[in-house]
Amino acid sequence: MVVAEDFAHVQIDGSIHRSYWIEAWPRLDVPAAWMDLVLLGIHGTRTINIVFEPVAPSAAARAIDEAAIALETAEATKAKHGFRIRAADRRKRDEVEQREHELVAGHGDLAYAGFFHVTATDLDSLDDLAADAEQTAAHAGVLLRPLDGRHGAAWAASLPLGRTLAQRKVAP
Amino acid sequence: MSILRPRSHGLAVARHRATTANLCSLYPWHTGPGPSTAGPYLGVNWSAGGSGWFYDPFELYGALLTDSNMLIAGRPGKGKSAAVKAFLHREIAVYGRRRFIAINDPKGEYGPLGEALGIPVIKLHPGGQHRLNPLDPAPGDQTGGLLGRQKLVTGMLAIVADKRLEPAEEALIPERSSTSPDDDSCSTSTTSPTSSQNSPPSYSLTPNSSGSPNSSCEPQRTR
Repeated sequence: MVVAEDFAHVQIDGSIHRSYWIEAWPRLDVPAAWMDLVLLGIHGTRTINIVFEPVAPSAAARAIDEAAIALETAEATKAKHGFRIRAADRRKRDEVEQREHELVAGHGDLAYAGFFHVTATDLDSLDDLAADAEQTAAHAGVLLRPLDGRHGAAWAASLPLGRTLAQRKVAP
Repeated sequence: MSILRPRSHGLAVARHRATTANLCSLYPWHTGPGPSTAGPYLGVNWSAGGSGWFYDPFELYGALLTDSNMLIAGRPGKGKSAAVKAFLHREIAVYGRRRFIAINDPKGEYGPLGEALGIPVIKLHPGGQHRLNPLDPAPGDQTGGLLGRQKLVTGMLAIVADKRLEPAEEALIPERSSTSPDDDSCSTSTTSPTSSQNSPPSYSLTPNSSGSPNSSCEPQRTR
């Protein structure tokens, strides 16, 4: 197998790959089948993989506590100094509460990273496919950020090997 | 860059955090568009990006399917029955009489659809007007179904007599069932309701249109 890594793509034997990290997932409420557009709306060879890392229940509960305390402190400080509580603050608070409810209900907490890879046999069609993928994903509320300079490692991360992401201490 | 920050093995990216309550929507097994666009349009294919869903079992025979059973699942009141009726109605609209439709309708909800499509409605119940004659030839039976009728009579007699028939008794049956008077006309005639009160109910596939009360094609039961 021959690997030639470039800044904006990586060539592996006869195929050229470009990889994206999924920077943002849909922020609005979406229907259950929202992934249709991302999975099926792009015409060309594409790979989507998501790496999940379980978070220990104790760490998840601690993170909730810390987030809630930080938000409450910030709100108290703002109130004390006459700053208004913004909608974004309220939403953060709601989300922390919602997550706590879900954890108490028995759901697991997961850290996850999503990747999107497009593959073509020549650069022109790779560029076309990549443009199609970026636009279509944006329509679905998914923001793709190209992993420029790291396409080799990103391609390796698309393989189902389990240890292709750098070990990272999950924020408590 | 790699001098300043030696690459650890693997790709270093930030992680998102969520609970499985939300992450369950990351469901990859969505299907592509339906197998074919031949057939009546039935609705929106939600698991294929909202494209149209067309279905006709016979269009898919041979190429894609060897069997074409359907399962329609859903909560009460969500339109399962309406979907079936729309399917049947559109089958007739697209293919006309080339599609044979027979509905077994224990709830009695397909009457108006049958009337609209010109499908005869047959109600089978004891004392009812429609009868089913088990000795009628089956549809499409080229040979008149003589052998099948003989087997049926043998089986019925064995049940009534509560014993296996002796070979000699069995040999008599072809005589009786093949030499019954007016064999051809019997197969589609009906009996009047009054004559059925003494004998056990039997049914003919044909609605009671001729109304000839003196027909004698009822299967004769022996004691």
